[in-house]
Amino acid sequence: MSTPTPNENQPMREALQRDAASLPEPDFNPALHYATMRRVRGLAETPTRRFRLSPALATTAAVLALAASLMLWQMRSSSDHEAASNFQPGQLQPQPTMPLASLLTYQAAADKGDDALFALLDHDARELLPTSSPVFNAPLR
Amino acid sequence: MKKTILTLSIAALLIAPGLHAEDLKYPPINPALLYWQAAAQLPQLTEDQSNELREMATGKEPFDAARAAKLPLDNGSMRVLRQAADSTAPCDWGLPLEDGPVMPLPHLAKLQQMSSMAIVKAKSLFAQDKVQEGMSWLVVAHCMARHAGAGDLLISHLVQDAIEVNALRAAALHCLGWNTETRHGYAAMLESLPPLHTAQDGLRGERLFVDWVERHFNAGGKSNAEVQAIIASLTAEKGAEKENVEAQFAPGAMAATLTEWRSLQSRLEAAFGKPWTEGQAEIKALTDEAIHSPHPLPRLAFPTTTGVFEKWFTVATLHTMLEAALEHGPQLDEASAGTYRDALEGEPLRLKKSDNGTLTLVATHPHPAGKEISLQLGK
Repeated sequence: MSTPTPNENQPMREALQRDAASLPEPDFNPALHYATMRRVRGLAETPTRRFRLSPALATTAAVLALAASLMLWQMRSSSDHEAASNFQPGQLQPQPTMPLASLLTYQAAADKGDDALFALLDHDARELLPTSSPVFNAPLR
Repeated sequence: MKKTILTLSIAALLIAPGLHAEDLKYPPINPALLYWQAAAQLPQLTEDQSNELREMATGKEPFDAARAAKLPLDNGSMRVLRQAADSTAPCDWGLPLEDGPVMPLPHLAKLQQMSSMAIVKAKSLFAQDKVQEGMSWLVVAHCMARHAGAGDLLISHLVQDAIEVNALRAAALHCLGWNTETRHGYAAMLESLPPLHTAQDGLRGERLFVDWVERHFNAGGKSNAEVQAIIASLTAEKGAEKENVEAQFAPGAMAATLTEWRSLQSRLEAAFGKPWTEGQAEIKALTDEAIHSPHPLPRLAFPTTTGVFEKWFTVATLHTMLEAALEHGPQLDEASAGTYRDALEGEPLRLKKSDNGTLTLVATHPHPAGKEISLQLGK
């Protein structure tokens, strides 16, 4: 594999430069320059104009979104209300005084002795993060 | 000789960059993250299985190969468990210390269960005469003990000590059957492990309770729901007077409470750094001071520490006992046992021989009261 040297196209470059130098250069025409610039800017701005929302359309969209949100909120709060009205006090377990697996819980157990602490840890080991997807149970070796 | 050294040096130079590159590609992972991955893959144990596992791991029940075979000890979690134990990265459980007494510590329960699996797996391999493999699982358990202690709380410390003791006892039951090289190799491995987290480290972590109370007091005091829940828990658990505890959150009362609490805490921490003979009386006096404190909060929240301090020295004594057994093996006798001393009063160890020939190393004084510190050697 060879890398072309920078001088390989030198004769061609020189010929093109010679030809360009021989061409007569017209005087600067400000009118033509500004007209060209306007055309260039116009090309760049066209896509933006195409997707710009008119104020009326934007307002309509916002009103529709607000209405949809209100409807969803109302549906949700009515279902919550329904659930709350169906609630029977006996359905809930009494709230434990101490949070599960917390420092305070374990400290209280440790105060009752090692057996109490380790029995609680054993219990929590079964309760916390119960078995996950069977995919994990495939022996890896 | 010179030629060998030159060859080894060149080989080392050639291999070293490769090892370094491997380290960069797979840097050691925080063991805590690996333990959680292992926990996620743990099979669900029934209550009976869980009890059986713990009884066999602690030695409360003798190892039973048939029963152990029914336990799920060859699951995917064991591979990750070993990776976690082997990791050289610092173990960071990411404990939310700012949660104070309600801080969750779910990793302790999982670690305890997984360490039991490692120990029963070791016993199961010893039963199949796979000594080296069995030993490697005991090493896993020893590493887990150190990782359990990484929380630097008294509870973390207790779990660390329990795992360590289970692993020591399991090795002691088998080590007289190992040849000298294996015994000395195991002793060297134990020596090379990082030290256990001290009881003093664990106690220092308990400062989070008083810090938490102070923070909550500054942020609104007893009206805070979390504070109310803790007051309810403490008073329900210890049968204390709720109104008196709530009164502690009055601006004038709290300042005095915090001063006394912090003073007790720091004096206790200092006592925990002392040898047993010096520290025990001091710790007992400080515990009594806390129990009779005029301020209900430290009285209720102050941890029971006398037992923790005693256990720390008990674990050290068990280490010495195993060291003696690994050094002398079946040749261990009364005279050689007497050259080793317990970590409490510094008395010589004694060797007891039962009618069935089982050897047990025993400390002179019972700890706690009425209970011998002993290590059974051989089954």
